[in-house]
Amino acid sequence: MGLAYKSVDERRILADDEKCNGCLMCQLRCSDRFEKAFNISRAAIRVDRFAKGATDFFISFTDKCDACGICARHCPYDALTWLKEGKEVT
Amino acid sequence: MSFHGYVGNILYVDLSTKKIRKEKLSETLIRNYIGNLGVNTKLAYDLIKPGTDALSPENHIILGTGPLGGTVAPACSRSNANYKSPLTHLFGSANSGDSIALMLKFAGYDHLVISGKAKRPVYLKIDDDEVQFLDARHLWGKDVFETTDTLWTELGDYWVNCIGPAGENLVRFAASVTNKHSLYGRTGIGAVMGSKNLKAIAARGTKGITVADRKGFMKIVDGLLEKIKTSPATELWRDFGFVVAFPAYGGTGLFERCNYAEGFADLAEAFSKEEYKSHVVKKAYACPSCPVGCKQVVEIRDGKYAGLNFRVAALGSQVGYHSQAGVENWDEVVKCVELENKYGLDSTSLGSTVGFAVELYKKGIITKKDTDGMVLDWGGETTRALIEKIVRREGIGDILADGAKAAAEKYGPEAGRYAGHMKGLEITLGVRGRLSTENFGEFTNPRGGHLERSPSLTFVPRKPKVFPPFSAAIGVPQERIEKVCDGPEGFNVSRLTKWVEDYNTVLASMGLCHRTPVTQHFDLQITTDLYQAATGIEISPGELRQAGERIWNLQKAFNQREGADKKDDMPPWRVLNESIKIGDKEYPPLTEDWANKLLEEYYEERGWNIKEGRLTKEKLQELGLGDVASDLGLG
Repeated sequence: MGLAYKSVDERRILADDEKCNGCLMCQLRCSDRFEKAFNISRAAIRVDRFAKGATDFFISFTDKCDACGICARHCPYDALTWLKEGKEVT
Repeated sequence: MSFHGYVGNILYVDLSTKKIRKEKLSETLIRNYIGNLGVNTKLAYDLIKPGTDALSPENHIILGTGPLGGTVAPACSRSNANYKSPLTHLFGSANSGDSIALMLKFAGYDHLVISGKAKRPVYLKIDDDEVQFLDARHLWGKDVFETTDTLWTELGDYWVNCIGPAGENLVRFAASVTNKHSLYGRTGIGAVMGSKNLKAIAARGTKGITVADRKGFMKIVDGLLEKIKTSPATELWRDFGFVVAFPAYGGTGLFERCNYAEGFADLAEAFSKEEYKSHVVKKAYACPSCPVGCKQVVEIRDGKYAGLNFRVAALGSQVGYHSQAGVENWDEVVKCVELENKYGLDSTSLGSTVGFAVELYKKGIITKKDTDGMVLDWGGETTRALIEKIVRREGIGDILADGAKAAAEKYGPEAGRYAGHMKGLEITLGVRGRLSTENFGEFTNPRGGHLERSPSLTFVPRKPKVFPPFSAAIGVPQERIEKVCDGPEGFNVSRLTKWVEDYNTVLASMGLCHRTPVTQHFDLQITTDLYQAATGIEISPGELRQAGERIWNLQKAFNQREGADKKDDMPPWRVLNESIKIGDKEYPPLTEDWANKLLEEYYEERGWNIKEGRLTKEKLQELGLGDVASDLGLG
C-alpha cells in the first residue's frame, strides 16, 4: 500500500493509493485553484494512472503543493485526507 | 469569439497528403450541434460523401469531446468517434469514457478529423500544437497491449489510442483502444483505422479549459456531486458495476443467451455478485471526472486464469454479450474480454457472431467443412478459438470477421434467420420479454443495434405515475405528455423512445455518461444550466432539446442517403417469429404486424413519413435542415 503525504506548516495531506480510483478530480480542482482553468498538467498533485501496471494508481505531490487541502475536500473516493494541526478536516 | 467550455479548435489531418489544418469552431456549429456527438455528426454528414467505401481513403474518422469534457462536471468526459461504418455501411458511432479525445482537448482540440490513407503504417503524435506523422512499421503486428507499452516507453507520459491485429486485418467489428482499457467499441472504427494504415494516436496536452461563470458552474457541480455522493446507487455501482442490474436484466429478458434463442432468468445466480467481488474484481476505477467509478480492475488470483490483471469497462455488460456465445462463467468471460481488449475487438459483435456460428453448426447449416474441421459448441473454448481465427482472418474466421449479417449472406437464406443484428450491427438486448425505450431504441438507432441512446426509467417496471414528470424533465412538451405516457405501464414505448433519444443525444453531445447512477441526477434544465455556466452561451432548454433532435435527424439523413429505410428498422427474424422462454414463462414473438405498428407510431412522433419511415421536408425545415431536404431530393 502506498501512502504518500505532503506537509506544509501545520497542514498535511495523506494519500492512499489503494483507495484512489483514478478519476483525476483532485488534479482538476488543484489546477483550477492555481490556474483558474482545468489543466491536469498544472496540478500540484499527480496521479499516475497507467505507467505502473493495471492495478493501482500512484499519487504524488510536486514542490508547488502547499497542502491547501482542495484535492482532499473533493476526492469522491476518500483516498485523500487533509489534516490541520494533526486533526482531520472534512 | 472567445471560448469557454470548448477550447475552440478542430484539427484536420490528412494521411495521404500529410497536411495538417486547424480551424476555429464556429458559434453556428456549436449552437446547432452542441459538441462531441453532435458536431461529429455534422462533420461526418458534410465530409463523408454518400456511397463512400468505409475502408477507402475517402472515409473520415472524427473524434470529439464535449463542452463539459475535461472540467469537473461529473461524469462528463465521454467522447464519441464517428465515421462511415464498415460493418453497417451506415453512420458509424462508438463512444468511450476514458478516451484519447479528452487528452486531445487538453492539447487544444475539441475535435480531430482524420482523412486519407498513409502509404505505410504511421501513428499520429500530438503534443499540444506540434502534430507529427511518425513511422509505425515497428508497431504493426503488435497487439494493443504491446503497442501501448512500446509507445509509453518511447514517448513517456502520453495517452495512447491504437488498434491491434483485428484492426490491421480489417475485421469489420474491430475496436480502437485507449490506454489499454477504454474502447471505441462498436461499428468497426478499428478497421477504418487499419484501412488508413493508422496504427495509433498518441497525445499529450498541457492547455487549460476555462468556464465562463466559474462560481455558478462550481455551484451546480457541487450540488450534483453531493446528490451523487449520497445516492445509494453510487455505492452499489462502485461495488458491483453493471452486475447490480443482473436481476432486472435477466428477469425481464433484456439479457438472453445462445444467439438470442433463450432467456437468462437465472443470470444473477449463474454470474453471482459475490464471486465477482471475491474472485474477479480487485477494485473499481473511474473515468476522468466521474465520482461513481463503475469500471473494474480485474485481478484473478487463482484457478484456470490465475494472474490475469487488466482494466475493463462494464464487465457486467460483457456477461450479456458473451452469453450469446454461451460463455459459461466469470473466468471464461474475463478471459474472452482480455483477448478482445488485447486484439482490439468489439465484444458485443464478437459474442453475437460467435453465437451465430455455433447455432448454424448445431443446426447443420454449416458443417466441419465450413469450420476448418472444428466442432463448434457453446462456451469459452469455442469462443476463444474463434477469436483467434477471426482476428487473423483464418478459415471460417475470414467469413465471421465481416460480422453476422455478411456471414449469413454467404451461408444462405436459412442462416439469415439466426443473424441477430439491426442494420448489420449485432444487437445487445432482448425485446420479447418486455419492451422499454432501451431495447426498442435498438431498432431505431441510426448506428444499428445498440442500446446506448435510449436508456430511461422504463428499463424496469415502475409505477405509471413516474412517467409524466420524467417526460417533462427530459423535455417532452406538455401537449405531448398524455400521448407519450399512454400505456398499461405508463408509457407508449414508441413515442417515448423518440424523446428519450433526443434527450440522450443532448447528453452525449455534452459528453455525459449514460449510466443510471449518473443520469438519474440530471435533467434537461440542469444540463442547460451547466452548459450555460460552462460556455457562457445563452440557450434555452427547448433549444438544446431541439439540437438533440436535429443531430438525430441528421444521422438519419446520413443513413437515408445511403438507401436505408423502414426495412432497416425491422428487428431480426427470430424476434419477429419465434417465442422465447424466460424462466418458466413463454413469451410470444413480436410479430411483423406489431413491429410495424410500433415503428409507425415512432415515425409519427418523429414527424417522419409514417409508412416508409423516411424524413420529411417539413420536419427537416423545422429543424433548420432545409439543405438536407434538398440533398435527399425532398425539394
